[in-house]
Amino acid sequence: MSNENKQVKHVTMVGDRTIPPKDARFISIYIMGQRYKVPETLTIVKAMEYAGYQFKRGCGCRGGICGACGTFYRVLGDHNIYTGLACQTVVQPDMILAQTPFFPPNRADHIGLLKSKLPPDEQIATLYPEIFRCVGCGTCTRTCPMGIDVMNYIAFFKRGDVLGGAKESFDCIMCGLCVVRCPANITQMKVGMAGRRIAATRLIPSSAVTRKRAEQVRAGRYEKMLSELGQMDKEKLKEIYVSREREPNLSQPGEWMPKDQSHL
Amino acid sequence: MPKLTHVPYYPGCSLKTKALGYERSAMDCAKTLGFKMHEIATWNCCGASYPLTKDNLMGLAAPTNILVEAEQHCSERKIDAQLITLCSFCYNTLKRTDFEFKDKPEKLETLNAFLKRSYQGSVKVLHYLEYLRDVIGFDNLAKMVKRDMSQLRVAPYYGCLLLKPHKEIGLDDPEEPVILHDFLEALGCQVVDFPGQVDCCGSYLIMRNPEKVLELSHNILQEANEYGAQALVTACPLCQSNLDQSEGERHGADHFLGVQGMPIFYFTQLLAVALGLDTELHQFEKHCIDPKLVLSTCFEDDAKKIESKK
Amino acid sequence: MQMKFENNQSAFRDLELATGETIPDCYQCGKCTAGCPASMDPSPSMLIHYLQLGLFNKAVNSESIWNCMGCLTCSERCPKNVSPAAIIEGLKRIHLNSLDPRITLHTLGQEFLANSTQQAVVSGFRKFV
Repeated sequence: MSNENKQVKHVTMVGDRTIPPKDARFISIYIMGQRYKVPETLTIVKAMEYAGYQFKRGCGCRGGICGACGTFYRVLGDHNIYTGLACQTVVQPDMILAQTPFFPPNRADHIGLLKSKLPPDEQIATLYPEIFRCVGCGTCTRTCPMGIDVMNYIAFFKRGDVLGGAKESFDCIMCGLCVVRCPANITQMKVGMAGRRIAATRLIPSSAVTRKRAEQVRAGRYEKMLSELGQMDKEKLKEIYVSREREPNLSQPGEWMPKDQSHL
Repeated sequence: MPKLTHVPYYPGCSLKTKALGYERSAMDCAKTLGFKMHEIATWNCCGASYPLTKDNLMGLAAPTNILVEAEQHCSERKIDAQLITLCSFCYNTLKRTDFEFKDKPEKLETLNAFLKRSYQGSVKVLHYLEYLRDVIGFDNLAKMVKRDMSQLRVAPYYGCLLLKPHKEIGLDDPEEPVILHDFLEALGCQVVDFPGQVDCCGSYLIMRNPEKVLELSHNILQEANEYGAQALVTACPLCQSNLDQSEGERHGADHFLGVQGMPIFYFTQLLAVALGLDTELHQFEKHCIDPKLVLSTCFEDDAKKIESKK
Repeated sequence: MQMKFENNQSAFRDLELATGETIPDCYQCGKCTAGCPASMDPSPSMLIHYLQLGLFNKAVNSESIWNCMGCLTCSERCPKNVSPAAIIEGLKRIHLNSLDPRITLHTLGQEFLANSTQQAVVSGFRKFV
């Protein structure tokens, strides 16, 4: 597309609260193929809002963790496809944006997963046999905006190492960009999630300490304290909140104990 | 304790679950024979079949990743670039990929550009059997055998991909191979030479035509039986699975092989027995036809162990 | 799915380019068919003969190509260095690349998948899907 023929759209800032810095330079970006001039310091989300788009629903936490704003983009003159989270990625000159509102994943039926008698590796194989179509092209790894080695965690699941795959896929925020690009039509993120669920229930040893505490809670250990708090007035609550004891940062285990140890 | 030679190892998908006994027995034997198999840090499935159409470069992506990792593994440790495998499919895929890259360097360039890696083409792909023959030597192997295996009649079963295509694999003659024969002789077994040793077990047809696999496997096993074999050795998890499960089915169905049935050993499992190693963790119990039944007829101490477990 | 190629010559040339095989080299000695463990009808040499005679659609639509198990006996024994296995894979790829698979993943069955060795599943998917 030729830059010269496009109309430059200057949009009045209705509803957008971006106040660009005084000396901020303006750059061109392309949203849905239309060119807009936006301040260069903005993230993609803010830049689109500056340009007059409104995100009404489903996008998102704006903190880089919910996975709703996965974005594909190119830059004029560069044949490569890049990815990023719209809330975290700062706009570049001549960026051409595409949002993926929803790309259908394949989600196998997980009901009965936790009660299944099959060993973990066979569970994954039966839920997601398409992982065996993986060609090892590594496109998923190169697409992931979180820097996860996606191909590697699928490789773990293929060889039956469910715990390894669960650990390797831990940072996944389920943005689904890998799913869009996979030539073998694998839904990597769902496989990772299934793997993490199986690992958590069947492979990672449960903490005896947590179990004990849960039993104590169920036995009513904290009922009195909770009902006291529930009956306190606002001023008293504020007072005890402000004066609460806190463990100093980076304390070593056993180094610090609170004065009031009745709730430990 | 002399230092063990470091040999980089590529397992392949099946070796960690379905063929775990193959890996464990191979690793245990390696230590006795003077080398240690080091699994490379990062690896993916090799694709399990080399693409036969020349225009299919995607099928070379997975093997290239593996070869790059192996090359890196070796250069970090300043050792000769080599990679040992156990699975015949993996061996075949990796070796043929390597051959193709040497024959057509432009393909390697394309793969390197696509994968954003730089494989230099230096890795030598070996099969465990090859290592036994060419580095350890079967004569030396024979000297290390601790058990008397002479009562055991074993048929070597080669399968297809360990040997073919000869021009690219070059391990042994595909029509009349001898490497497993020599291996069994070194162990001291009676070697049962039978015509079906290079017949195909049916391979991946198990996914679509399992009755064909049953037919082909049945032919191989029946022939081995007719020639007097008590057991088979193989070097491929798929052959082992096809033959063993087919026999399990047949054996259950009409007892055509008599009371015991014919166990299908991985050659390293038999090697472990011959070297006098503890085979507790070598997953004999995962086989359809229990290998220990055959072994107990030859070795008194094994028979006692099986009795004491009952 | 039945394939219908209008131009036999260009389909033939595309197959040669894809596989890297020189199909006219085959002089129909039949060694490939003699060594083939699959019950292939039409046989490997017959399939090549169809291609040589310009009967491309007949070759590509034969069900027998799906019986090939990749044992490579044919390629190994051919006196003219032709690989019938490669040619058969080329014919299969025409179907697979047109999204005409021979295995449907979600009908494979839990027990079957659980018991299969990964080798079988991966190579099976490469050849049939």
